[in-house]
Amino acid sequence: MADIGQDTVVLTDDEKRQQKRRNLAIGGGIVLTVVLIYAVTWLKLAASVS
Amino acid sequence: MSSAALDPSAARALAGPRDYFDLLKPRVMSLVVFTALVGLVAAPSRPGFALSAVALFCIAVGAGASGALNMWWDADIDAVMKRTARRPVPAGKVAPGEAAAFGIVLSALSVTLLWLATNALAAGLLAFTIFFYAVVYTMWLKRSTPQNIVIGGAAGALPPVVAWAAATGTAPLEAWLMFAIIFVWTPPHFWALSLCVEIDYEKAGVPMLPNVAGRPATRRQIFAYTALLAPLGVAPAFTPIAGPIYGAAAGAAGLGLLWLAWRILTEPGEDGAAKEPARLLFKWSIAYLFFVFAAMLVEAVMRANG
Repeated sequence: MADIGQDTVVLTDDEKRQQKRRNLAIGGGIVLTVVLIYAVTWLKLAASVS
Repeated sequence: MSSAALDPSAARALAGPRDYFDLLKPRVMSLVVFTALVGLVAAPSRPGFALSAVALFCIAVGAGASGALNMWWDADIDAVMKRTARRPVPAGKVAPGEAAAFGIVLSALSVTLLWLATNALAAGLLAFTIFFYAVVYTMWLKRSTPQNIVIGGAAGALPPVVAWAAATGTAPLEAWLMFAIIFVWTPPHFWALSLCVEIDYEKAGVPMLPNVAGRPATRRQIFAYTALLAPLGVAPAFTPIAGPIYGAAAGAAGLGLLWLAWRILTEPGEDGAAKEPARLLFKWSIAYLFFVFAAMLVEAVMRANG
């Protein structure tokens, strides 16, 4: 049977490291943004009760 | 449904993007997204960045949709309480029908998209969360029982389970442990606020515990739930999602919370509201939930990176 659309890309070790760093940067950015928004929002609420 | 006296044409003239955003209850949404993120990261496998982001987005929109449905239904009681009178529906900025349609459309979109992007279990859990908050809590329990916060808190506690299900297609004990922490955290958090701040629930006819059962009963229940929360917060340390460092830190934070709950129980003050310890417990409960879930997040990230 014909092998259609089965291209495989082999990454070098350096490319794998770069990909991991990029994923970490994007993931870390998303996580930090969510944590920061949550912390600021709820700390404002805590500060509003005096 | 409520009958907020509104002129629909005036509502259309005044409504802006900010009003529709406010319908989504952004503060609750931030809690939902944060705890869902922890559920997603703590899960043993993830569907990749794009699908993870879509899952989080769907959970956030679903939570917002239930907030819009809540504001539609509760417009009459929101209008008589100072804290909520400026919400978009009672303020006349968004017509009640528009708020309802907005909530229904967003609910359908978020559940469908989550199903397409991840799996049926996650979509089903999100649909149940929206139904539970909009129908079981808002339309039924809120006006009928002083335990409204307790049972309604389940809706706010489900997002990490939805996220875990989106990541793995399963909902194991660890995910339900996260649910249990938020579920048990909710009553003392709200009741502490209702003791230290005069909220006009009575005027709105909402049976909140201090109004119905009295302040001594409220103080006892705050202590009971906190006594349950302190060990529950440590429990993840005995599962694969957290370790002994988390356990020690969560234990110390839980003891702080318990000490404040004890003060609420034993230092009622002149009016029986234990205002000062209740204010401290309200603030510390916010820090506690952030701390416990942030610690789980840090451990999960460290685990994922080796």
